[in-house]
Amino acid sequence: MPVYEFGVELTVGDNTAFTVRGALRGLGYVDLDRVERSELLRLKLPEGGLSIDACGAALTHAEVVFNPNKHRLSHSGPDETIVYEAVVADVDDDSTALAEMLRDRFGIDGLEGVERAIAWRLFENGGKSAGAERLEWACTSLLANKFSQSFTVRRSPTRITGK
Amino acid sequence: MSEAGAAVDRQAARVAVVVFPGTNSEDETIDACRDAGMDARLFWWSEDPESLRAFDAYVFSGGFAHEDRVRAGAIASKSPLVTVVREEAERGKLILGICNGAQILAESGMIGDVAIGRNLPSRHYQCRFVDVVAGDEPGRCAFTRFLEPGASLRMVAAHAEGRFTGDARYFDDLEERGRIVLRYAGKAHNGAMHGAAGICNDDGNVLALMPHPERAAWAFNVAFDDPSLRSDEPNRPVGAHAIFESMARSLRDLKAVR
Repeated sequence: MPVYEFGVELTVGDNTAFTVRGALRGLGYVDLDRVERSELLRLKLPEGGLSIDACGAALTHAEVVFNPNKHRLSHSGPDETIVYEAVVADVDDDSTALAEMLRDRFGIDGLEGVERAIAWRLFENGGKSAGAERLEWACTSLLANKFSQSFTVRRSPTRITGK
Repeated sequence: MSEAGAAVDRQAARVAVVVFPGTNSEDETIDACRDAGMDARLFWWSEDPESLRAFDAYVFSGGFAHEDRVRAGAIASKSPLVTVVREEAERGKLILGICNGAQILAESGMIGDVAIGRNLPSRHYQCRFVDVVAGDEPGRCAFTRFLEPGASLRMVAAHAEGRFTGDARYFDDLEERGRIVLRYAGKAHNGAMHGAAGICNDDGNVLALMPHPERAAWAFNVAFDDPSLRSDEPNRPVGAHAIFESMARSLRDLKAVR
C-alpha cells in the first residue's frame, strides 16, 4: 500500500516556531537560533491508486490543509538529509473526517486513511542542525506531551516541491 | 458584579488572577472571586514572579495563553510564573485553573499524569451550557468541599481541547482516590475519560476545571436558559458561583489554621 508523505509549511513568518524558539531558549537551550515546523500528512492509497503528483495537486485545492497564499506544499523523497527532525503526533488522533473529505470532495480516489503529525527542526547558531539527543530533549521538555502524544526523531527526508 | 463585590475586606484572602498574553475571562473571574469575599487582582505575565508569593491563592483563567501555540497551555506552563505557583501549591496554597488555566495546570504536571486533548469525536471548538455533577467526595477538594455529593452546577464549556485523557489505569486510580471531583452529567461532549470535568491533585488544593463557572455565576448569565432564575436581582450569584464560595471558605479556614 503506497504511503505518500506531504509537508505543509508556512511561506510567511511562523509565529509558533518563533514562540518555540523563545520557550526552548528559556528552558536552557541558549544556542538555539532558528526553529522550522512542517505539518505532515501521510496519505494511504491503494495499490494502483493515484500518483503522488496527482495527490499533491488535489491537496493544493483543499484549503482546510493548504492555503496557496501562505503555504508551500512538498512531498518527502526517498533520500535522507543530514538534518534531524522530531515528528510529533497525537496518539488518539481521529482523521476519519479529513480522509473522507479529501476522498469525496477533493478527488483523492481510493484514499484509505490519513495520518497527521508535526515535524520540528532546530538549528543552532551558525546554521548547524540540532542532533538527535537535543531533539529528544526538546520533545520531552515541550514539543510532545507524553500522556497524549508520541514522537520519533529521524533524519529529515528530502522535500520535493511540486511544479 | 454585586456592589458588595467592589468593597473588599482588607483581611480577605488575596487572590492573583494570572494573565498571560491571550488570556480572557479574567474580569469575570475577578468579579466572581470578589463576590465571594476574596481580594482578587490581576497579575500580569510581565510582573516579577517572586511577588506572586505574597498571595494566598491563584487562578489561571480561560483564554488562549500564548495563542495555544504548540498545545493549549504548553508555553504558559513553562513560564517562571508557573514555577512559582507550583512551589506555592506544594506549600498548600489554593490553585484554580479554568479552561485554558486547566490546560496550563495539566501541562505543568500539577494534577499528575493527565493530559488534555482535542475534543473527540468533534475535533473542533464547542461552546454550550453543560451540567456538571459533584462526585461522591466533594470534601476532598478545596473548591468543591461545600457542595453536596451529586450536586449539579450549570457551567459553560467553551473549548476545542478539553478532553481529559491519559493512561486508563491512571484514571481508574483517580476515580478510586476521588480526584475526579466534577464530571459532566450524561455523556461528556468532549470525550473526556470518566466524563471528567474537574480533576484535583492528591492534596485537594489544586483543581483543573474545564468548563467555566465564572460564565454562569450570576442570575443574568443563566436566566434566559432557566426562567426560574429571573428576578429583580440579575447580579445575584447563582449555581456555579458555589465554586468560588467554596474557595473563599476554604481560604478562610486555612487562614484560621495558620
